[in-house]
Amino acid sequence: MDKFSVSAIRAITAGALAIAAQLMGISAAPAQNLSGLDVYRIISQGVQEASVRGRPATIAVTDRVGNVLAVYQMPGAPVTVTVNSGRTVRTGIDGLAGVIPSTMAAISKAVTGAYLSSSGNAFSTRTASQIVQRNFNPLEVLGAGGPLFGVQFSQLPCSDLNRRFVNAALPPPPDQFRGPKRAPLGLSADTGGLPLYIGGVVVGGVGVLADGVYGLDTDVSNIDADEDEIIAIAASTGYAPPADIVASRITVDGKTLRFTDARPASLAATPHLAPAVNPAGFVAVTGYTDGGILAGQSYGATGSGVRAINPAMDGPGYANVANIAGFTPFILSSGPDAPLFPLVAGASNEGQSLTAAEVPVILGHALRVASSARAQIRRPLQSFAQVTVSIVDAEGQVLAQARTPDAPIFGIDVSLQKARSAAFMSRRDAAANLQSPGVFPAIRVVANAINGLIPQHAYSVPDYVQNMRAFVGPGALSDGMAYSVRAIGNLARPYYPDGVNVNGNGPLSRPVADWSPFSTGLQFDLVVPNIINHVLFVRNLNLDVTGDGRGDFDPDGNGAVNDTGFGCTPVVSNSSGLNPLANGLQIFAGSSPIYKNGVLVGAIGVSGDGIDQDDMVAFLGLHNAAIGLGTGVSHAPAAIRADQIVAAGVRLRYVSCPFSPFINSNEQRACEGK
Amino acid sequence: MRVVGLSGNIKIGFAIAMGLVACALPVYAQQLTVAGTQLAPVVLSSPAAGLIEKQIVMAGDVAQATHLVVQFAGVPALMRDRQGVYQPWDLDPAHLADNGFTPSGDQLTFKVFNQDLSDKNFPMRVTLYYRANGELKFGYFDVMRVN
Repeated sequence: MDKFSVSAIRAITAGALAIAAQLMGISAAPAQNLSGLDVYRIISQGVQEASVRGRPATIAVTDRVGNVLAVYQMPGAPVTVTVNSGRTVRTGIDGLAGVIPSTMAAISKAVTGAYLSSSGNAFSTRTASQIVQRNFNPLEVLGAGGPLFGVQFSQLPCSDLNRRFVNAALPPPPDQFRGPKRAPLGLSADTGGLPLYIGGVVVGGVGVLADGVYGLDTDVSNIDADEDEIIAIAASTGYAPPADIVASRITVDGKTLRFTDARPASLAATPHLAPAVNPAGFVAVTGYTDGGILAGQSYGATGSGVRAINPAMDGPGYANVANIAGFTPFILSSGPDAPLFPLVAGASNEGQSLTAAEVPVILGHALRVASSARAQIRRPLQSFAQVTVSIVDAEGQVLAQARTPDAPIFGIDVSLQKARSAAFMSRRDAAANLQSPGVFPAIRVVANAINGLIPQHAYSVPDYVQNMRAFVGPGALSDGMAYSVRAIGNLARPYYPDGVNVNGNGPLSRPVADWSPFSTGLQFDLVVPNIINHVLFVRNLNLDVTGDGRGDFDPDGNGAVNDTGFGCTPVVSNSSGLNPLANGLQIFAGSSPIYKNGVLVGAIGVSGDGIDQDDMVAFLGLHNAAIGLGTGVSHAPAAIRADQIVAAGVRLRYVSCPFSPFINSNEQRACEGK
Repeated sequence: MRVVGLSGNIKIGFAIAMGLVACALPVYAQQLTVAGTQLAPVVLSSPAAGLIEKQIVMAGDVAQATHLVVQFAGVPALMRDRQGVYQPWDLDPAHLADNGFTPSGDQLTFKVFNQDLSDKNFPMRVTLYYRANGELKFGYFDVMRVN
C-alpha cells in the first residue's frame, strides 16, 4: 500500500468518524426555548437603547419556528415604512411609502434571523442583504447574483405550508403553536434582524424597525452605523450566538459573509440595567399576535411542529427514509402528532407516476448524500450539510418532506418552492397555465391597486411566456424541456448571463432599470396580489376598487378584510384544477425534475446549505435512488435537460456541484456524467 | 373607488393613490369555466359550526356530473363522494366521484361541509367541478377562519 493510499484511508476514516460524531451529537442536542421572561428582557433591552438614542422603535421577537412572542411599539416610532432598495426603482413594492406597517417589517426581520440560523451558522438580515442582490458581493461588477437570489420571496403569508397564528380569543386548534409560521413580508434583507441563542442553540430572532425604512445594504465595503442594528444588538445581549458560528466566520466563493456592523461597544446604554417597559407598548398585530407575551416553543419538541421521525408512529415509508439516510431525520408534524406531509404516491402524468415505495427511497438517498456532503455555510469545518428535502409530483403536490436535524428553518418552505418550480416549469402545459385567462381577472383588481400606488409597475404574468419564447425559442415552456431551478434562475436574473453587468435581463426578470430585490420579475409578479392583500388585511384597509359598495376582500360585507387565501399565485393546473405553485416560485439552485421511463413525474427540492451543496444533494440523491430502485425512475434524459438550451449565445446550467464535495472522501466531479 | 370604514387620513391617502386606477374588473366569478375561475372566499367565524355551501351560476350549462375537492395544508387532495365522505384523490379528473348535485333553475349548490372543523388547519381550498357538453369546468374558493 503506497503512501497516498494510506493518507486517503486516514482521511476517509477521519471523515467517517466526524460524521458519526456529528450524527450522534445532533441526536442528543438539548432542547432550548425562550421563556416569557426572556422575551420581556429582550424587549426591554431594545427599548432602553432606542430611548437613549432618541430613536423610538418597533421591536418583534419570534421563536425558532416563527411564532411571534411579542411586538412592542414605542410612542413616536414610525407606524409605517418606506420600502427602498436604494435603486430609485418604482416597480413592485419598491418605493411604497406609508402603507406597510412597521410591525410587519419588524416581524419579518425577526423571522429572518431565526430562520436563516442554526447551531452551525448564525445569519442576520445583514447577511441576507449580502446574498440576495444582483451581484455577489453587492456592487462587484461581473460577480454573479447573490447565492440566495430570490429567497426574500419565501415564507410568504400566502404559503400553503407555513402555518398561521390563531387568535387566542378563538377556539385554538391543538397544534396552534406548531411551525414554521409565515413571515408577513417574506424574508427580510433590512439590517436589524438577528438570531437569538441559548446555550449555543438558536431559539428565535429579534427584529427592530426604528428608521422607517425597509431596505437593504447596497455597499458592503463600509461599516454602517445602523440604528436598527444597534438596537437589535442591545436587545439580543445575553442571547448572542457563539462567536465561532457567526456569518463573519463563514466564506462563500471565497467571500466572507457579514453578520453585523454594530458592536457591543456601539451601545449607548447598558443592556442588563434596562428598566421595565410600559406595558401599553405591547401591541396586537392582526394575523400574528394578540398583544401579549408568549414563551417560545422548543425546537424538536412536538409543540414546535418539527420533530424526529418516529418509525412506530409515522409509518413504514418514513421509517424507510431513516433507514436509507443512516440517521433519524426530522419532519413536520400536525394534528395530534402525525406527519404534516404523509408519505404518498404521486399523480399520474402521461401514464407514469411515482409510487409510494419510490418516494422514500429518493428522499432517503438525498438525506444520505447530505450527511456526507461538506457544508458550505456551517462551522466547524468538516461539518456535513444540513438541509430540508421535499419531493413533489408533476402537479406540485407534496409527496414527502424530511430534513437533517439542525437544518435552518427557511429551507422547509424553500425546498418545496424549488421542487414545485422545477416540476411546474418542466411541464408541457407550463406556458398554457401561465397564460390561462380564467384565473387572472379576479386578482387583477389587486394588481390595479398596486398600479395605482406605483404607476410604473406593469402586472403582466402572461407576458413572461412571450419573453421566454422570444429568448429561448418558440416552444419554450411547452416543449417538454427539463428545467432545474438553477436553469430557471439563469433566466430570472437582471443580467444575462448572470452577473455580466453590461448585458440585458433574462426573460423571467424585470429589466435592470426596473429591477430590485423588491421587484424581481415573474417570481414577484406571481405573488404581488397575495402580498398586497395581506398588507390590507393586517391594516384592515377595506378597499372598494370595484365600486360595488363592499370591500374587494370583504365579500361577506362584514367590514373586515379577508386574509390572503390558501396558497400563493393565481396559477391553477389545467389538468387537475389545483395550484402547482402554492408557495410561490423560487429562482435559486437546488432541485432536479424527476422522470420515469422518460416522462416527468415530479421533482426534488433541497435547501439549507450552499446552493452547490443543495444542487448536489438533489442531483446525486435522485441519481443514487434511481440506481437502487431500477424501476425507471431517473433524471431527465440528457437530450431534454435545460443545459441543451443555448440562448443569446450562452448555455444554461442544469446542475453545479461543489469542489471537494465530501467530508469522507477525496472524490471530485461528483455529478459529472450522471 | 371607496375606502370602507377607515379613519380620515388613511382614506385620503389611499383615495389619492387609487385615483390612478382607470377601471376595475369584477372581483370574484360566479361561474365555472374550462380554464378555472376564482370564486368568493368563505370566512368562518366559528369553525365548530362548519356549514359550508357554495352556489354557482350555470349560465345555461346542463351538468352531467358534479365533483368537489378539498385541500388542507399538508393533506393530499381529498374528493367528496355522493355520501359526503372525503377520500384521497389521485388528481386524475376521470377518477373524480360524482356528487350528484342537481341545479335549481340556473343555480347549482355544492354542499362542502356541515361538521365541526375546529381541528383543521386553515385556510383550506375547495375546488368545484362539473362536466357539461363534454367539457370539465372548474373554479375554486378559499375557506378561512376569522382572525
